[in-house]
Amino acid sequence: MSAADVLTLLAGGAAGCQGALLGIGGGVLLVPLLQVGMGLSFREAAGVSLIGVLATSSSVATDAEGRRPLNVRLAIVLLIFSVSGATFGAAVLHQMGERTYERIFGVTAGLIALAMLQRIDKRNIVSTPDFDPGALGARFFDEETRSDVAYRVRRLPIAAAVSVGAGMLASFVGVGGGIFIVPALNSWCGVPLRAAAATSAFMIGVTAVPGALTHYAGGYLHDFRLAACAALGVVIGYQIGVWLSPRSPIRGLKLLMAVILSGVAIQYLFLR
Amino acid sequence: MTPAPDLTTSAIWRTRRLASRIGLAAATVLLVTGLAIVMFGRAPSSVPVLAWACALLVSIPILNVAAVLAEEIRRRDWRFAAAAGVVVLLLVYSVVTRVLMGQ
Repeated sequence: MSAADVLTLLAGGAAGCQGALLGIGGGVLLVPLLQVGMGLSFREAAGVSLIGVLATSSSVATDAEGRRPLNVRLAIVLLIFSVSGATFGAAVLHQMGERTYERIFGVTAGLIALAMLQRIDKRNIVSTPDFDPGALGARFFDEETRSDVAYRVRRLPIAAAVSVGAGMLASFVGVGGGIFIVPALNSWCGVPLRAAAATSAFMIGVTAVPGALTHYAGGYLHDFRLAACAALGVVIGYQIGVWLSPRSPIRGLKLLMAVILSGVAIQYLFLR
Repeated sequence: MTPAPDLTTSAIWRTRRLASRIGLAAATVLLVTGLAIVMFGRAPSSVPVLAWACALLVSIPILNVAAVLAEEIRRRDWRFAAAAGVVVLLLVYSVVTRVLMGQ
């Protein structure tokens, strides 16, 4: 294996760990590394990254029931919007310049990082047993408070709008969209971070499918060796992230997410 | 308002998880095999092996949504069955147009 293969494997490991902890596919790590570090074109990097995102989501799909507070119904409702956005994004992939997509991505990441920092100490869960979570809310056992908690989904149109945007960006820039969906669900829609991460992790693989197929059909996914290294790294890194997840404090996870988003925003707005 | 039922405890969901595990295990074996072929200096021979691994990784999320559709139909909750059906149709559209028709 070459140094590039090993580096991609390690980046895939970090991406998989991120996927288990924060519900994001790790495309924000893989795309810059593959583009800047390995010299791939943006489209090629996006194609390889989407395979990594699919590996993250596939790893999530094998999780034991009850280990993560996945909200299937909320995921399915939001998938209508994110997959529509991804399908539309895949259809118009070549209509705008790559720099335009990068600027949109950077601005959105910066705004969500600010929202995340603003609500860093706010919890979205209620411990009272008679709390009505509504049709899309849920109950789960919270590891941090060691009790059964419930939450209700608020401002669904905002989550739907963010999902459309996340889906389009998934096709445009090779990320699963979790980096936008998780903060939006947590900060604006009342979904606790662990539930938002589990729900997003379920969604990102499905959202990545139209983009991955478009990059394959367009000839941008021809380096299967790098894609294999990324996917294998993700599968291993995901297991490490699952082990770390109940041992990581919510505040720390939110800070980590805000730092990652700020780094992405700076990179795409000022360093390219 | 009726709270959302926990879909993750049903037989369909357990079957979905088992199928996903088998799919991910098969994909991992193919990825390791393909990379081993590359290490032994036969890179062109690894392409179909790695392509099949990637195809398996694409199919697992589609399987997940199909399982949600089956579970909602079993529960006769037509609102969420319709939602899952729309997502399945969008994914089928992507597979047909991008891979089968090569657009």
